[in-house]
Amino acid sequence: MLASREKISIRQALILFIMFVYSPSMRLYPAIAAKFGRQAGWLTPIFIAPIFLCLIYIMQSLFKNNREANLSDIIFKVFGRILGSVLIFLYLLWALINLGIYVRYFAERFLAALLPDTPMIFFIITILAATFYVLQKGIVYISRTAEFLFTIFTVIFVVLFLFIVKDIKVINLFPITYHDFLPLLKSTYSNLGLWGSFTPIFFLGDKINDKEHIRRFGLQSAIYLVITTIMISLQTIGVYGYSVIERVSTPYVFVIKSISILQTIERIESVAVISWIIVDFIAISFILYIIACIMKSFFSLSDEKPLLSPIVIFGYTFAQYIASDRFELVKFSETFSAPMSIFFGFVSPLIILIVGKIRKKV
Amino acid sequence: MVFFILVVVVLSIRDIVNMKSKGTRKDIYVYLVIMLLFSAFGIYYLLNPDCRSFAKIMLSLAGKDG
Repeated sequence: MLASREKISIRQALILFIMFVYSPSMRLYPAIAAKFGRQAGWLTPIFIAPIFLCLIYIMQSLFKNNREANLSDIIFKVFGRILGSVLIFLYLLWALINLGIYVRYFAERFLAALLPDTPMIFFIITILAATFYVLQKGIVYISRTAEFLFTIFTVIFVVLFLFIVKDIKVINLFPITYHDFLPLLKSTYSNLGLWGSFTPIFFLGDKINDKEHIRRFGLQSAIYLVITTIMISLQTIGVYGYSVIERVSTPYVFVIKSISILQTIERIESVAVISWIIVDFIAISFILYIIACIMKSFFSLSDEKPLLSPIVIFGYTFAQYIASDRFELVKFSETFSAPMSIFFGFVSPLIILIVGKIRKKV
Repeated sequence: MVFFILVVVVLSIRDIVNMKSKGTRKDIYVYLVIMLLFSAFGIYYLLNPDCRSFAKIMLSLAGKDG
């Protein structure tokens, strides 16, 4: 039983994390895995998993003696007020850029897949207004919503996978030899950042109960992510081959559009659209709330909820300003997102842990 | 532009009234500074929608805009 009605469980937090990772996994992962890993790209999640497990252990160690703290508190404790503020400010910038990327991709996906003649601003305002409205009630409501929508999303995802299974060609996935090891490492590097979103959930740390179970639920979420990411790879690389998938801007959408049931029912992407909306809605709500929590810690405020309004205003502007077209957005994501996410998601927690252990603060 | 400013004003009034009832003066000052900063950025963008995008600036700084 939760100690407070204002808090969420670590299980709910990790469901938020999984849904946060899904969005970029569906839009970016297949193309990057195909580009770098070629036919062996579908094995990328297996290479990412051990590094992710290390991150789970790092987080467990950071919160072992700080169960009521959040990541900002630990950063301040380890680095002191000045250096800690610098690091938290960098996290804030990273989160604000991610907000712009997520909102813009939400709009771009609809423009590319379904409603090409609709003004982009319509999608941006719709998603930001919906998330802003829901977040007024706090993280508990969004977590419970995510828990419920997670089940619906998983069902839709598995059903769509079953429709595609018959089109998967083994020749597109094999042979795999030792020559594929280096390409797989490159693919792992490019996709690793996606899983780095595990770290920012701990900026909500003071709102998460039972942090002693980070390892247990972290392992479960790792298994879930490995399986679903491999399923995404099989649906894309397995059906069309790496040479096609690496050239398609939205491979998962491309594959879903090709589904034909009994050669009579086609164009069922509208079903998939429901799952994209669910995933993006949760992801954008999640990142909005994380930004508010980081700002609250950075400025030592008493409440994070009023900050949601300026953040939404920023998200509205920045989602338009971030890139002039889709190609620029993809290039920016490929060039900057991976290294930034690896640093903030994996390297930074490791540094915090090492410094914390040396200074005996964690 | 008018719609944007209207939304900013309405949201600000609502939030400040809520914060005042909780008696957190520091929160109000910080809120106002952040809101002014982000609104100014919004107005700048709406006045210059064809300005160089953030991605373009970053990619050119990294020497990858070609």
